[in-house]
Amino acid sequence: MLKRYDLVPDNCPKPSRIAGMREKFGFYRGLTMKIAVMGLKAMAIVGLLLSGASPGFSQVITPSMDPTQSILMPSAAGWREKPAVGVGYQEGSGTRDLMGKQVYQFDNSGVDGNLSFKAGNVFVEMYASQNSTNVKLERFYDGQINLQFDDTRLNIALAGNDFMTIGLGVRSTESKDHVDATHDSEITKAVRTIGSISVKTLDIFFLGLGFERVKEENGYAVDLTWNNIVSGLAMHLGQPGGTQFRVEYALAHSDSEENGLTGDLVENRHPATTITRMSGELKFSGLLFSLSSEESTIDANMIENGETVEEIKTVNTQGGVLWIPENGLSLGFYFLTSTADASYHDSNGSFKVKLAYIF
Amino acid sequence: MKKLFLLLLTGLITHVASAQVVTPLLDRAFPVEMASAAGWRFGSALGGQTAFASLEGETENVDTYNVDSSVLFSYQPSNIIAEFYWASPGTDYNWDYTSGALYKNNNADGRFSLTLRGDNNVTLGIGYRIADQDTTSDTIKKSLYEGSFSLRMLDGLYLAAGMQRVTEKFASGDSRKWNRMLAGAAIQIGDPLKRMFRTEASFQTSPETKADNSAIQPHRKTSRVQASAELLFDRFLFSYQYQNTTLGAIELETEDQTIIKHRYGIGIKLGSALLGFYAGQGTQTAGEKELKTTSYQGTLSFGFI
Repeated sequence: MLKRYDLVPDNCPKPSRIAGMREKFGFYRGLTMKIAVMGLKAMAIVGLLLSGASPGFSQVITPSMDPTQSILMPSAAGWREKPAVGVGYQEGSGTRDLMGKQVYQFDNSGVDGNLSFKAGNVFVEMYASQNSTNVKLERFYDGQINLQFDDTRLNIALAGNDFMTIGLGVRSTESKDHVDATHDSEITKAVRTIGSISVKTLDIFFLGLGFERVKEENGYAVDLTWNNIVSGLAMHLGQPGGTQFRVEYALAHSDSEENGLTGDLVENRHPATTITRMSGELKFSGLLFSLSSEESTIDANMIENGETVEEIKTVNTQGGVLWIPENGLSLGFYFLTSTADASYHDSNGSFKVKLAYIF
Repeated sequence: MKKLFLLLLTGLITHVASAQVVTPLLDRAFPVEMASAAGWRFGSALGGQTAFASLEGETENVDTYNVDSSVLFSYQPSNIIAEFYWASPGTDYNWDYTSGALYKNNNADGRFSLTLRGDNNVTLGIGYRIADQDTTSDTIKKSLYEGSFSLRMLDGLYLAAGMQRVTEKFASGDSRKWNRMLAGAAIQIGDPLKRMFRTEASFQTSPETKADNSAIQPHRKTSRVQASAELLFDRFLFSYQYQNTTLGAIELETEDQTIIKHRYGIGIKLGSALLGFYAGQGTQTAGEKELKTTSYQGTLSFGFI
């Protein structure tokens, strides 16, 4: 099968892309065209790491009543009701449309596990996941594809007097991406250190604030470091064993960050990114009904497939029902959908099964 | 090719209606449609069935043939219920209502469900099902993921809801995917070892969904109303089931298709065994065109309460 780039030598991108790179980066003088293309791609990788490729729905201020649902800010661990261990398996499929025509088909699957326990007023949570995607790829078009995403997290929180929790966490991610026909399996690693605090007020409201330092490295672009600020508000009504209702809204933002060229490596740039997360849960008679959404907006401002893309927008939603006993075996399922809009439109649907034991 | 996929969607009449949405049938040989229903089985069960049917169209008829034979095993060691169902590759006929022609194909059906029952008033289940179709010109791999839950209240009233994610993959690599929503209510009163009355009404619907490849016909908007009633009276089981399915018109079609089925049955209890005999009638209508089916079914099941 003839690939699109078989028609165009690697060192000769399409004129529209060259113009786009000149407009955006202004570093084309003295560089080969190929390096310029890679600079553009590197930017896109960072953007996707923050959004679509990363498993969403982590809780920020308070933990989910689903004991297998991971947390994002470590201080949230301090509000866990019971220790638990759980695993999940996810399988789904999707498509990418470009100019009204389907260009790729995706099949994805993933596993994850979450363990939470406490010793005195110290709460510990460990999480690991691996998601992989198979792509039916006959021709390559602009716009990268995540092939595999590994995520491990360790969060420790200190809780004091049912009023405040302080947490520290470390998170390591590794992403394998199809960047273009030449760079079809590039690895990007990132290590995140997170500090956060959350406060309970008026018995039902929770306020949280966190700071995340991200250090990213890969094989073809220079290292890059940037910061995320995360904040949010949650409300949790009811007591364990009875009917409970929980809602949460959180906002995360990171400014744009750039690192210039070093030796043979190309420029790396993290675009300004905003992520809003919302979730609502209702638990009664041991049944938990859960609905979550995560929406990210990335200021891409680039040329892709001959189009100017001002921003990449991703929307992930999941809804599920779980049996959550006071202790013992827990079972549940989620239906997930996700979309991504750039010069293309991605659409995915998945089904996830959860199995846990609550101590 | 386009015509073939249209035909595949109008071949539902020969399937023998049985699976229940909210609570399982008292005849244990039949599988459940939603995994959460398996949580209301009375103990473990082992069963099998075989079904035969004949078709009568306006231009073509099919003499009695074996629709399928199946086995079911439901294991319930505590409040966890695992259920396996497997049907031998069965025979189905697709109806081209424009010409009245009937096209034979083979179907497979395998199901697995895992259900947790909590405090005897809640069940939550997950399920996976494979229902491949092998026609004379193509093979379609069909799979369903399912999640469902049900509640029991007032001792004998059951409510349930769930969703199935259906994927059909064609040999060409193209696929068709949709969600099916299911919900229902049931009443179950009495002693499963002596006298018991059970009735259920359910509804399921899925939207019209286009395939990746526009050359493939979309999945028709489908809605189904199903009702059943069973009476266990000492050694005898009396059963009735009704199913009404509407398939939405697509593309240039102007009228929906309707499939109506009735099934009557009687069973005899012999210790922990139940022997069942069923007869059914169905009519598929498209405008003024009609296809009729007659079916017979035999079951043998064992219950371990």
